[in-house]
Amino acid sequence: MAEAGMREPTFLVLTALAQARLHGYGVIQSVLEFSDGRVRLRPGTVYGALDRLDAEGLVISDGEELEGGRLRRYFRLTGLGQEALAAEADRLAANAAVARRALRRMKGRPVGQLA
Amino acid sequence: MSGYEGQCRVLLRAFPAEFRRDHGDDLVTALLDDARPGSRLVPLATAADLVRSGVRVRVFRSGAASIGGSLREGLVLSAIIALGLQAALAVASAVYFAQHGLVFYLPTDMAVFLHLSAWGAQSLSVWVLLSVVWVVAFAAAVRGLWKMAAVLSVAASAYLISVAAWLAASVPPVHAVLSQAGSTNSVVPGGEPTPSRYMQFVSTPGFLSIGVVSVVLTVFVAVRTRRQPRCSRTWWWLATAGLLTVLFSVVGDGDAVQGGSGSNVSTSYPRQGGIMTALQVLFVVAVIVTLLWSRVDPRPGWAVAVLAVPWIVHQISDITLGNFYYGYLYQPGWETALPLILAGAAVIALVASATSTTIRLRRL
Repeated sequence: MAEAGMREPTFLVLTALAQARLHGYGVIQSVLEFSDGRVRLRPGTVYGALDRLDAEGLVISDGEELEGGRLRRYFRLTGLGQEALAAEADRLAANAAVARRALRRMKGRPVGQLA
Repeated sequence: MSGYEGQCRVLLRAFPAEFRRDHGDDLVTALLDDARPGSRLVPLATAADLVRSGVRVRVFRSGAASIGGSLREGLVLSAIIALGLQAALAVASAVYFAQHGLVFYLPTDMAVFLHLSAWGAQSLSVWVLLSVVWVVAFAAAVRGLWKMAAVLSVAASAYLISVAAWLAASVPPVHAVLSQAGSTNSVVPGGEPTPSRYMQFVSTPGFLSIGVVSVVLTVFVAVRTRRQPRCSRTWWWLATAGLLTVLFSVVGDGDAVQGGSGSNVSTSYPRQGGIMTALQVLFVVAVIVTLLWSRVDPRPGWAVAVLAVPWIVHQISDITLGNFYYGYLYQPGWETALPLILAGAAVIALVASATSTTIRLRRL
């Protein structure tokens, strides 16, 4: 879809929704959890991303539930969203594989004499 | 509703109204969940994130997250701004005419300006009528009635240009008039012309092609865009145009008034007046603000770049037509090319910034 890959928040939102149907704050919590507390998305970013992903057909709103006295709208990944996330995951994995291979080849060579 | 929630709702205004209808309550709930217990003020980082995300959503929902889309939105914006400027200038010119019996405004180029100044000095009702037409055209565009705006602005311009064409045949170039009069001093206000003074004078009608630009853009929007765009802040636009009208009426043509006399050709020899200075200042401020803003929203970048075209066209016409109309009086210095160079640089910077932002926004 996008040539330069996804923005990281978008990727993380899709990853969270691939694990479960969630509401906006649920996405924030899920990302916080699976990143071991390193990434805390902000609400504005999450809803901005959800709005755009909804318009692009990658996520869809999936009912509202009353929780803690407030109505919360849930979102889930669509088929298109699964494809986009898979493609992005492959892209990132391929980049990571290249990096790992390069690092393995470097092993043993003293730092500072890379060239 | 807590104070915290109230602050959230205020910050939510960064998002477009449809977004707030769709997700506003959910987003507030998420913000309340996300807040530290007992906090009274929304943290700065959260507030900044809301504003940034809101502008992103606005740009995206307007369809401006592609080059074609952001260019189209920019053209719509520039058409509205050009019509607003045109309406403000038209009303201010009617006011100015009522006060001084002189004309400082016209929708096309210098030659037309000269001829119409001689002609326009005879009829206030024409200027009042034209200003009403431009104001209605602007209001129609703001309300999304682009076809009406296009018809009105085309009619007003066609009228002016046809009158100007008719006059062009009957009024000789200035240098011919001067040589007939036999003496420069008797016709040119304030005595012997100096190059810098004429440089300023020749640039006075620089804003005139705003009229032509507004017509072209309005017709383009009316004919080419499927969705007839409507401003969400109608009253904001009308109020801004009203303020500009007051500004233009107050600054008037400044020094240019002195030495003017009736319908003599010499009245079309104003020095650079307050209007032109005001427009130049507005343009420079707009370029600076837009360059900063176009890092997040590409639309105003395109709009201001398009609106720089009158400056560029006018500077080029100065260099070509100046000689024809003023003959030996036209002695441009290096300053003549300066606005051309600055406007050109501004256009390049604005287009580059708007393009790179659009490409960045295309990423999901």
